[in-house]
Amino acid sequence: MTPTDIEPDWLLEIRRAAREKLLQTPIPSRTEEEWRRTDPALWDCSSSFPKTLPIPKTFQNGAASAPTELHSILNELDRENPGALLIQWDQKAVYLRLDSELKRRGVEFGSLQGESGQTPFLRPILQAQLEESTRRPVFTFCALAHCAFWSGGTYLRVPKGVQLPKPIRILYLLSDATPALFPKTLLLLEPESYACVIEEYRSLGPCASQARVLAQTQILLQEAARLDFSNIQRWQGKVLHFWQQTARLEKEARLEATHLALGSATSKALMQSTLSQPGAQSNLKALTFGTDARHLDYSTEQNHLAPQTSSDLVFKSVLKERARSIYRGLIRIEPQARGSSAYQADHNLLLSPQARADSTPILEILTEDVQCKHGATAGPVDPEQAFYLQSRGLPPEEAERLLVMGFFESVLSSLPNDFLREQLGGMIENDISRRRQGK
Amino acid sequence: MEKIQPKDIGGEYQYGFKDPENYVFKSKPGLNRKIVEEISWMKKEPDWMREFRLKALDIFLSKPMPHWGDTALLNQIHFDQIYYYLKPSEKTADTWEDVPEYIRNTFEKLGVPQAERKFLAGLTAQYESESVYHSLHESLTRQGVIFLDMDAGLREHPDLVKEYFGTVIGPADNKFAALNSAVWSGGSLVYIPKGVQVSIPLQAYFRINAKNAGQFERTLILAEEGSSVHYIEGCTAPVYSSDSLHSAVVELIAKPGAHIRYTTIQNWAPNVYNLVTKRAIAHRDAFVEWVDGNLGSKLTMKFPAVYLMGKGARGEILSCALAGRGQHQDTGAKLFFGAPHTSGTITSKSISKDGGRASYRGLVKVHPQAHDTKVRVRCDALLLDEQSRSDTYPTMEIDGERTQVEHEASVSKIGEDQLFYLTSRGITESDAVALIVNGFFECFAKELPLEYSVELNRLIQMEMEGAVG
Repeated sequence: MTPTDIEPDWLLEIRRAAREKLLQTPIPSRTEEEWRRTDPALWDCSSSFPKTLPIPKTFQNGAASAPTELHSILNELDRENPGALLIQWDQKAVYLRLDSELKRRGVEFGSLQGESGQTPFLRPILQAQLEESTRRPVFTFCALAHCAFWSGGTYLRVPKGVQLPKPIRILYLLSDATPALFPKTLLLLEPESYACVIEEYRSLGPCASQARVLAQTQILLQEAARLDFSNIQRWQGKVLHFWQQTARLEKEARLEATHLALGSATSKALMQSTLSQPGAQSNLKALTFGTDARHLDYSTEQNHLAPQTSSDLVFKSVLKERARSIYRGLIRIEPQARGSSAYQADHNLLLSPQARADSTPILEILTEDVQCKHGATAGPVDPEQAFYLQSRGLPPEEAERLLVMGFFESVLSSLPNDFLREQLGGMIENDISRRRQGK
Repeated sequence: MEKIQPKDIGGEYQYGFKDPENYVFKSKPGLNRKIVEEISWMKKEPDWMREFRLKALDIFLSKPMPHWGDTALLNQIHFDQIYYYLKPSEKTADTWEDVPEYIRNTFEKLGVPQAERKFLAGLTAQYESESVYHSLHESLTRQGVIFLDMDAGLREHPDLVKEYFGTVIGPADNKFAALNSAVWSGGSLVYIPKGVQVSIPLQAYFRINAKNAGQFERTLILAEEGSSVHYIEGCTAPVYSSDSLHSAVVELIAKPGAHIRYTTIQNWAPNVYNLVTKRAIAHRDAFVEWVDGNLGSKLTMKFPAVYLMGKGARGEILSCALAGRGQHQDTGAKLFFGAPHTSGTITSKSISKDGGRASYRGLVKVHPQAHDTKVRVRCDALLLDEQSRSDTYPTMEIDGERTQVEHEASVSKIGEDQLFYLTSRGITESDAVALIVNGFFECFAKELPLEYSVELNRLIQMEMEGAVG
């Protein structure tokens, strides 16, 4: 693929407009509540931006030929037998497969780069993204940078009434040589359709990367569409990760989104669910594992704009060594969203004295006919549990593994299907054993 | 079933009577060095206090307005239209009969003297900016307890005041603490000597009377080792058409093993800005309780804090708010854990009605040296109609080893099942609503001394009965 050659004029216009705005947008001050605990300048990518548009080919470097790691990854994913698979290596899509049966039923799946000209449904969505990028001023500079410079990326459109039997896999790989990455995923589910999508960020190579990542996932669920979505972040090295997930749910739509964070040096994430029509339902879950000096800063929003909408959120963080977790969650119920219910829970398990957890669960309730609750806890391992495990003669690492898996268990067991349960549980187990071997 | 519309809760302000203004001294509106020097000169203060005030004035003028909270309402304050000092009569009276009759009448209407006579050990009634009435139980005086208005306290115990004044809340703490430090007048000085247990509550009563009058009382309570005291402060202010500003600073110091309980009931008129800084320091094994009830006012911003600075210290904060038409109760609590084996609880209850907005804003901060600590936060909010709003803004920053933190909050309307249960027992729907609302505030009401609840009952019950009766 030689994407820049194919990129249509209207897309180039969007990029140019975003870049113009970006040049006039200062990096937010550290006194902004959203950036008080994480330095926004970490994502100041201006040095790695291409100086001109369209993006020159040298910036679009990718695999000339697939190296051995890629082969083993392909083997691994093929065993799962996904309904569709896209692998992007740095800025370039290197592998794409879509079951012919799905293609026949009208499912559209592919790399945003190169094909965006041929896929008419993308244009209004990408244009709206530019307009909405200024909606939250404190995140504008990230949204605009993404809008101007995203490369590669994936789209999925599931036509009306189509139920995908097998999961869709999207994998973004990062090599050590790449200074900045802007992955973008667009998921559009038309009325009464269903899909299960796993989006993963993974490092390739010896993992000395110091890349800045600005990632975006946009989810649009039309009437009565259902999506089981999982986002997995496993960057190795000193990657600085910014991620924004926005979901818009129409009438009776249902989102089950699960986020798993096992990597990066510093992460800042914003997860938003907007329940725009009656009966929409959003369930957000996140499991994060902080080790070393990892810094994980999450903001969530559950915006209820319509009556009879419901949302639920569970955040669970395990923190070791000097890891730090920041959670800031907002439930906002607008006056017209009568008969809605919203829940929010943030739980932190602190495995070391230096670990740190900040939690700010916020409620803004503008109508009386609601059920709203939130809860937050932070604490060390229950001494009785630790004593019990010790008295059974378990080695400390094994005891810790049991405690961590036990802490995550309530979320893992509530995942919408067995496949996700096994995948996510397995990844956490892998991470723990890899870490143990490394020491 | 017809829907209950408790429109009338708090619709009328019951204490909206006012006296004709009759003051010995009234400063010009606005604030500058001259006004501050005049206040200090009128009070015949020592030089250090004048310097303290002037320094605070510079800080006040240089600090920007807070950029968080209800900034729209905050920016409506016109600092140059406020009278910063008023002195109603020449000297503080010693007996009730010496108090000028019109002021006595005001208190009669509020029911203060009865409460004082029957139940209270001491009373400092602050009418505008000076104490007009003051008494203290004889036995307490013999034990060395000091309970004076702050101006008299500064005259009679200058060394004590100089040592502790402004040590818990410095003038640079925030803009409104700086304002108070510059123009403070009145408030209480309470000193409890080592080991003395004051079994009967001490009470001070504050009122704002003049139009555009600022009220800037300054209270300092120092409880020496092993002592205990319960201090009660209540406020009602009459209705005025233009806005008044109340900005108090309250400093509590609980020495090792001491116990301070500070109870506030505020029922400001709906045009009063109530911007208060309250903070306590609890030393080793000390116990500090804030019981804080907020009714009325246009905007209240009040977050009583306990700094747990000694091993084993404890802090408990109970905050209740009722936000009615045109009101924003921005209240909450702060707990700072600065020492090991400390613990605390925060309980917040709020009701929003008639388009009122109640916000809980809180902070729990556990510093690295504060290991083995426990904290529990619980916020409940009740919304009585569709126009009202409730917010919860808690922040928890946990950096201590073996810390247990729990936070829970809920927002709901009056439960259909509760209503159904009560009405099925033959209780009318309006009575049922009143019962549920009263029950919601029960945890606050029961924390007050039974004797004193005459005043509180009047404030809450009248508001609630009007709603559904």
